[in-house]
Amino acid sequence: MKSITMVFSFCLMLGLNSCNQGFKKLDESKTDDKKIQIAKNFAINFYAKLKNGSYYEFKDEATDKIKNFLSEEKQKSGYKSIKEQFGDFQSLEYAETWIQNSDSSIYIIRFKSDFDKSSKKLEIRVILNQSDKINGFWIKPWSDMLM
Amino acid sequence: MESKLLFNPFTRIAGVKSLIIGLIALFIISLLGYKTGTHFYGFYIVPAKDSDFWIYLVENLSNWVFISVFLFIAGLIFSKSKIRAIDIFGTTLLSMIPLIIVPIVRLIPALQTFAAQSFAMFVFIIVSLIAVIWTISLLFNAYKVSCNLKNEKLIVSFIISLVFALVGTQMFLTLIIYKF
Repeated sequence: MKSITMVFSFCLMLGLNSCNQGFKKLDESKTDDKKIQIAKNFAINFYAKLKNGSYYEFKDEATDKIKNFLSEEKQKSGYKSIKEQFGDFQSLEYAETWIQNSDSSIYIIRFKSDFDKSSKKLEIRVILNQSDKINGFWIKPWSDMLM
Repeated sequence: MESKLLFNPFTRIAGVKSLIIGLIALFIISLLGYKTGTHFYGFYIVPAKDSDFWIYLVENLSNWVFISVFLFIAGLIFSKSKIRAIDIFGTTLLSMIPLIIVPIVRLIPALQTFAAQSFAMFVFIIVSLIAVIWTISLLFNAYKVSCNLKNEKLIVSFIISLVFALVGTQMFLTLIIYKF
């Protein structure tokens, strides 16, 4: 019994030491509807264009880093690989918002999305900077653990 | 005596009785898994509220069927005793009951969504490990009692069967079920 308690205490200490309180999930009452709408419109338009065989033309809604990175070629090849694995984009719904503890002006907005060849939802994540410009955007299998 | 029952209840409960109790438990685990978003991908526990109820149910059913089938085949090959499929399938199902701890713990709001490297993640991993280790030790005893095996034959055939079963389950889920 004594040894079990010691092992448990060690694990608890290890856990506490390895904690990184870098992100915080916002309560529903503290989320910003305007930011969620910006992120949602962007994600829907982005995938709707690619689904129709076209590509998303950025204006001033995103940072230069994102605009340069998501070229026409990258968008199309990225969507092709998603389509092969999960099918065509169907819809998305807002899930939750996180902020960084060190910089609360950066919003991480998570959506759950449906693709027609997948029985599981995928995460579409949009990151907005302090000027509400898209500064991060990606898609991955949904996890309740923010990674 | 009571602690022995926690790891080897199969001298008291086996056959149809264990099958009925196990089926009820499996349904409850799947329901709680759906409510909390706890997938059992083999023994790899994934926190993701991302599917309909039937996916969680099929995951648990396929875990049970694959493990039972492989243990049954191993028993037929290595045991000299007469083996009853109902014993293997029933006791294997009963062995999976400790997995219920994970979705129960995930009913706590702090464990529903959490950041990587957080204290909640640490708690989730520890609880998952306890549930999986307990389940594996129950499976081992279920196999031992149902097939009347001993020593190296028991250990080696159990490990190999379990590895094949878990790989088989994950392939079945990834290649067929998740594509629906």
